[in-house]
Amino acid sequence: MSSADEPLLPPPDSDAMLVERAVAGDQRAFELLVIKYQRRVERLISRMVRDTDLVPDIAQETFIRAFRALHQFRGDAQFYTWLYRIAVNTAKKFLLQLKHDPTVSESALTPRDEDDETFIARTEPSTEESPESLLAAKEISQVIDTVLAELPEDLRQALVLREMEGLSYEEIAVVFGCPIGTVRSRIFRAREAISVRVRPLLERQGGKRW
Amino acid sequence: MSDHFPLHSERVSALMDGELRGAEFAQAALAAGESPDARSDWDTYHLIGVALRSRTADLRLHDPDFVARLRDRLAREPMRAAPRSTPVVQPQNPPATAVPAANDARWLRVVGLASVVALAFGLWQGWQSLGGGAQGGGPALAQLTAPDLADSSAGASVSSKGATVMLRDPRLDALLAAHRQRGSVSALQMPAGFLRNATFDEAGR
Amino acid sequence: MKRFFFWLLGMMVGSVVLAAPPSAIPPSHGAVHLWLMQLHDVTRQRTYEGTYVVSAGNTMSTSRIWHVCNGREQIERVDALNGERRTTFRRDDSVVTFWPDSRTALRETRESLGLFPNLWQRPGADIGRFYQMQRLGHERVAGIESDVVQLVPADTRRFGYRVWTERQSGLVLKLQTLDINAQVLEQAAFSELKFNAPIGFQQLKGLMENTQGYQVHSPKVVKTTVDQEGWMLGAGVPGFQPVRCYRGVEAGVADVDRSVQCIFSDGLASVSIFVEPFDARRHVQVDAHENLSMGATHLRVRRVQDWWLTAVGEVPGGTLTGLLQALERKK
Repeated sequence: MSSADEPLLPPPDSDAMLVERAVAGDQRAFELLVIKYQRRVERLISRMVRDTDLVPDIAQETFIRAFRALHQFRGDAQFYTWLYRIAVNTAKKFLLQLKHDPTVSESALTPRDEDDETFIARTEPSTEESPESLLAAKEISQVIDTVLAELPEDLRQALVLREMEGLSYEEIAVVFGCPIGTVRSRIFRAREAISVRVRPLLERQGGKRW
Repeated sequence: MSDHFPLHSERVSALMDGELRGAEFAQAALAAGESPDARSDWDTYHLIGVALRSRTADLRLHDPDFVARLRDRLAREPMRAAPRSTPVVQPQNPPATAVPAANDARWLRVVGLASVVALAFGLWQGWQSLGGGAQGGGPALAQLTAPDLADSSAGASVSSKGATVMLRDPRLDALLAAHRQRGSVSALQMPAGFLRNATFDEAGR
Repeated sequence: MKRFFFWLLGMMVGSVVLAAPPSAIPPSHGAVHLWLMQLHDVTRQRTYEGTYVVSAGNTMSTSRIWHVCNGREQIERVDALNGERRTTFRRDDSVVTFWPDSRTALRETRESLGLFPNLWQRPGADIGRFYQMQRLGHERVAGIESDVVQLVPADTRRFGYRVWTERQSGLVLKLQTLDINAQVLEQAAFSELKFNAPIGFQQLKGLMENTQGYQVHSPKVVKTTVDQEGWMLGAGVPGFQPVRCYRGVEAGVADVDRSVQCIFSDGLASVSIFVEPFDARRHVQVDAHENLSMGATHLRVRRVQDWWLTAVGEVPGGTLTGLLQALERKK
């Protein structure tokens, strides 16, 4: 069994707490979640819908429906799983309204707990993506890999344990035998070092469509 | 002095990992929501995580236009009412006129009316929907400006703002008075709390 | 993968021992208590007079205030400048209110005023856990230099506060109650303040005690408990403890004797839950009642069997709902 097949659980995050704030009235907290999941939701929808022009509209609709239903979200489940379902249902509704046939069969859309990216690895590459965007993604990926490799070992390890092993700060502190504050600092410094190199590329890419 | 605390990238990093709690979380969430720099960090740091976990993911920052359009749409969403408490048996014939103190022209009992003649003070406000006024959430009450209340003895008539409902109910006022007199046990009670209540304290006696 | 990793670690180490304690208590914990204590002491020390403005939502109320200390004792007079003429005197726990126009007066003992030092010595009372203190700097209020502090709530179940205190004496000059977005729900502040007042302690005392020509009411209030009244408190809302209950609250409208007032607090915010027998004529679940608020004060209702509960307090509506849901009738 290759490592690509093994689902990588997303690490613990602040989604549930942000939802709580949003329900209490802080709309900006909801927007943080939108920023986090916009592309993932769009990617998901684009696999269901042939017409890529519709994707942003369906994505908007998804987030609006999520916002309306926020109070129903049970903090015990993953927020993205819940959002995933809403996205799928919204896309289906759209398609029914437009009398389009879904491009992907129902069974391929079974929601999972895993991070969406690994699921994509199993399906055929989407035909909607332009060669340019694929290339751009590859370039960014490479820059991230390069910077990661160049980082001091303690910073790199901290980030990898966090993002790829999904360990909490407390758990990482045990691994390193250091205070939690140090873990927090190392993860931040690793992120910031990568961010500085990758952000100019990302911002250049901004505005490009599929 | 600004209302917002500068949020450094380091806190965004801890925030996204779900490692902040309590007031530190509340403060960071508030600041991250407002600060463009913090939102940019939030976006980039998440993208880095996605890139590390997958070789074929879509690696693009969010679209600010998308969020701006969404914000506009959300601003037009009706504010959710609080979850309903246990439903109550409706009386057979809801009184259209006031209870006991009805002879006093100042008191009006509201049952299902959309707007009321309200006096200057002791106004309970309820809201059914907010029409675009509640940007960023939070009760619209705080954003309403005080009307011109030069002379309270003139039974001022205040038309409902949007769909707000104003009530003047002697019973509620009495409970409110009792809460202010006896119910204030806050550590901020002295002197601010007492003065606040003594200043507020209107009818209901 | 995570589990394997830790199994391996466990095998190597023998037992998993934390290298550092989990999220340490924020250093400001004790600072909140200290700061509140200082706030409380100050009224024993300064004499002042001024104008006080309270804005809440759509309303604004103003009053004139005199506060006089003579060493161990203090006395205060508050004249409402809006609405019906009203003057309130307070001497320690004793409060007398006069309405000159109707020649009526009310004499009460407000126990809560002496409560504070004891409030957070109760087990379970822990303001520092639910509020974090942030020093914001300096500002002038009514032309007077003040320190500004923000009390940030630890969760969405309570409001935040911004407090301006006079730099020398620590007297609270301005107090704002803030919602989750740090928007001001209400504000109480001196628009004008002068230390030292032209009036003496004995003078004010004399005025307070002179009820000649007035019809004086002294409402009878009995202390009771949630339990004694036949109720149980379930899980409730974190931080909010029952503080006291009264029966026979003078409400001014019909059916006074049978209503009970139960007070809850987390140390900064308080909630009163009123319990009355259910009356179908009066207790109507109107849509508007679900979302009632006045400034920071919110109101929620709930019917439990033959009882009608009304919760009023300076907390978000959801907290009131949570407390209402926690009250159950004993079998």
